[in-house]
Amino acid sequence: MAAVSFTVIGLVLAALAGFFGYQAATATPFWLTDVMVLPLAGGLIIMALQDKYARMTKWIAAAFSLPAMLMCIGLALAFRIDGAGGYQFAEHASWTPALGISYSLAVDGIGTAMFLLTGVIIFAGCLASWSVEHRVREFYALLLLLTSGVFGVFAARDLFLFFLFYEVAVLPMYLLIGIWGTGPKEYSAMKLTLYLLLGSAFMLVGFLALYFASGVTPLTFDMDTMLKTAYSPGFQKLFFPFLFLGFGILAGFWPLHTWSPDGHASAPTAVSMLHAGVLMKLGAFGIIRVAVELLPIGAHAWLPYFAVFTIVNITYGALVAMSQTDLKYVIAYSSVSHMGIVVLGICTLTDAGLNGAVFQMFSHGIMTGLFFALVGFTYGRTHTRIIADFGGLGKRMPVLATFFTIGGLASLGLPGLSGFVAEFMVFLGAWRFNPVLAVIAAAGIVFTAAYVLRVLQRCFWGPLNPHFADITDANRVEILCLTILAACLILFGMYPRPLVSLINSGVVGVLARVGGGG
Amino acid sequence: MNGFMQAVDWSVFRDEGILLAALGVMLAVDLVRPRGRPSPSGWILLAGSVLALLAGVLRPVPDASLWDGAYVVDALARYFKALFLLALALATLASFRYMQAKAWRGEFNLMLGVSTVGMMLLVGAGDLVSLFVSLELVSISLYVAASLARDEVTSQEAGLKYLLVGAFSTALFIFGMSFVYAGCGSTSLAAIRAAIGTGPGHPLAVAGVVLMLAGLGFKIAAVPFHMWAPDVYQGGPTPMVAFASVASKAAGFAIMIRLLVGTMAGLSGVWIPLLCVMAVATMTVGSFAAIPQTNIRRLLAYSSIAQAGYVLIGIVAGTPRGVSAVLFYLLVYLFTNLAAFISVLIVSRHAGNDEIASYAGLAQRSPLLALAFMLALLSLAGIPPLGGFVGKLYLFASAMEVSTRLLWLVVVGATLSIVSLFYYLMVIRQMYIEAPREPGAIPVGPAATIALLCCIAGMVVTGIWPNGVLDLTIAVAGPLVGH
Repeated sequence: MAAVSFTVIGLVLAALAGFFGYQAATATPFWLTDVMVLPLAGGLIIMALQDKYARMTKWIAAAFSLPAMLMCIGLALAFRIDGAGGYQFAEHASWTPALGISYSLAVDGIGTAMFLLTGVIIFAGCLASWSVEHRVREFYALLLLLTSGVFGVFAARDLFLFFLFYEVAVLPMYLLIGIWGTGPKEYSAMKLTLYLLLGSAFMLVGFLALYFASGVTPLTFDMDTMLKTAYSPGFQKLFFPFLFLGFGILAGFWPLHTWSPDGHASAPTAVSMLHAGVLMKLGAFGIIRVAVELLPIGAHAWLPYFAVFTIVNITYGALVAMSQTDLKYVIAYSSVSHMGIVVLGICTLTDAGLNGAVFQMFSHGIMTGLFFALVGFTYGRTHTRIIADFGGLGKRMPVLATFFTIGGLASLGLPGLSGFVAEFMVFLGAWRFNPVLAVIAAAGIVFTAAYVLRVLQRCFWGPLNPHFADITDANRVEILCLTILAACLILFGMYPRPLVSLINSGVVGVLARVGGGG
Repeated sequence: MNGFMQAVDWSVFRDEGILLAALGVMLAVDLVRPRGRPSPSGWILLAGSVLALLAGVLRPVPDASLWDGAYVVDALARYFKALFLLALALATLASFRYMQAKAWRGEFNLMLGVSTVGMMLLVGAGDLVSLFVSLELVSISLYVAASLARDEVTSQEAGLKYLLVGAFSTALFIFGMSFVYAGCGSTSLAAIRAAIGTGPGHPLAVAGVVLMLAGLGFKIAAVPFHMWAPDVYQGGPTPMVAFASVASKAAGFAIMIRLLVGTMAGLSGVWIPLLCVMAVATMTVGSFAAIPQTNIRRLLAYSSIAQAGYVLIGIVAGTPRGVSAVLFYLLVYLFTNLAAFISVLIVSRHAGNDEIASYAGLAQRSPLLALAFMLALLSLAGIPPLGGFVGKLYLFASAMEVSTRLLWLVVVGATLSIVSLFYYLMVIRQMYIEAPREPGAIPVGPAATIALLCCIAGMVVTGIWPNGVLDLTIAVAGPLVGH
């Protein structure tokens, strides 16, 4: 077995070295593929590890996810916003010409922001899972595999590739929640997987329709070609709901959101972080990238109606979060509420709304990652998530309490933190779109403030529950994880301009295609 | 008669001949083998099938037509022959260890071989008579193989059910043939095609097509002719089930392509609506009936019923793309279903039963088996990057290309594949999430390991790099349609 193990690891490393060496030698960097390949290579190496080296797993995972995060930051810095913006870092290779499939990657401002989000979350997620002991190799391998899928979706410019990566990103969730979850984990895992794959079945039908209706010969899954195609209005109105709802399920669109609270509450910490933080954004990203951009007439016809549903998302999510007794369910329902803000922003089809939606995708991703990490760390100490059992934890764990406060304030949209920037822009867009909806949605924020402050007060302030008299505060790894996340919230809250202009360079392209604006 | 014989170029039968020669050697060796020595019949069958496969792939037999087109060699025949031989080779390779203890392994291997020869002749049949004779050769040898485990009641029951239902379907099929003959005045497929033309067709021929569809429905286990499949899959010897589930089903689709798409395209107004109904019923029943199963073989039986429904979509499309999608899917399905059944073969033999609960903790007891089985189930569910996804996508695409009227068929198919994912995930849950019920590793054995790795490679390659197979199936399907 040792021989097989070392051979596989050697092969992976050699392939990686060869791949990077080739790029260095020919001076043609494949940035996007590189970022995508790193987690995958790490996952393969971890799978090939022998049992006696299992304790090295988390270090290997960190060693592969850290460069991935740094490369994402590099991408965001290297992305040229001035000029046209548009798609950059493009890679293209023929794959299956018989079906019109190509390996085609590129990111615009929106994709770059999502890369940055994913990079931060995966590294923080690896740190947050430092205490996983049970079947640790499989855990990290699946986590990294999933991350490669997420990167792939955000970069894919070919619908076949998009779908492939989407499934790679979604399916490992079943095992991750089923094996390492808590509570009714098998039920939650099955529900989540079936819901999301039902969404993907609708997507697939929509993709095939786009494929055949494009009318180009030879037929192609290439999204840039489809962007140039004017699909007939009847066709757009017929297939827009397929794509919107297919992606909407993953974005937590009411009333198809019920997988999300169960799934996120049952999942292990890092998986909740990744799922609520990044995977739900795949849904919103898909709505913008595929549904809205490729079928603009369908979008104009349908989105005003869907916007009403997002109001339910926002208010209902917040109200239900308020009545939860389990801390993790509070966070899970708050994601439903916050994702409603994202989809509302998209539904407005305005400049401010779309910018706000994407900014909220980023901001909520970081914020919910921070929350789930905090809940996980707290649970690891108290072994309970019932809010009524806590009390005064801040006295024993001031660091965790401080981070929780930062996250909570970002969540209720306090100016100076990134949540405010995002929500302000979305409501601005919503106001131009329909003032009534904007007022109701903004009122939903009041509920958010209510449940966030209630949780903060019940769990961390007040008199200390003597049961928890001897618990410890965050350790160094946990503090590193939380600092990275909180720093993003504060940085982009105080100084949102670089991120806003990055995102805007992508939104401009979407609006040029869709029309509208204002 | 003499002239009839002289005109024949026997080299046309080279690949069948290689396999037949191997079967002859097998019989002879088993006759002279001293008592107590293990029978080498498995090795001989493996060697014969691999040799025939290599010969067929590396030096393909050129196109030919014998006896006024009663037997033809064309691209379609070559493709399916290679497919059958591949299935035979993999099934034989995987079942060495299973067969070791069986007293009837000689007869069993012979029957599998004869059945394969029958399939190879079947796909070359260009006349209703030769088609029927080779179909019987396939069926009868499989009936025998199913009931060979004389000491097991379930095997006897499976064999008997298979025989009775099979005989019934054969009766329907030949009844339909006689109608077609009456309506078209010939048994030659070329003559039938000419007689049908593009018109509405003779009423007798129409009735004949309907009856033949019923007969073929039994062969591929399509609803409502599927009842035999769960019982036979549950009771028959596992290697036979593994082989029949891919090869026999592929043979059924080969006849469908030849008869319906190739010959009776003029009657498509009759058979397309029927097949549409059949496809939806098959996908639905297969997907939902699998949910309550606790026996892994019955589950796989219903799953393979559902799979047949998906493949029918390609036949319904009836275009070159549809036929090539069917061809592609059948190859993917071969790797996928064989991987599943090889896993079942090994686990069942070790556990002594077929309960899904016996798979608990398989990931810890045998990572390779669990991985192969999981990939097979995901490929069956149509999850990328496995061959099953490309295959299903291609099938759906072929239907949507024909007209948006088939859109509903695609929506139904895509939605039902999520239903089937549910019970596939239940098995994956046992293997990966549940803790093992018994300690200890499950040994796989070198031969079965090779077979499993071949299947995994097949699933992954057709999923990630399907170009070669796609181009091949497109080239095969092109000339069949539209003449």
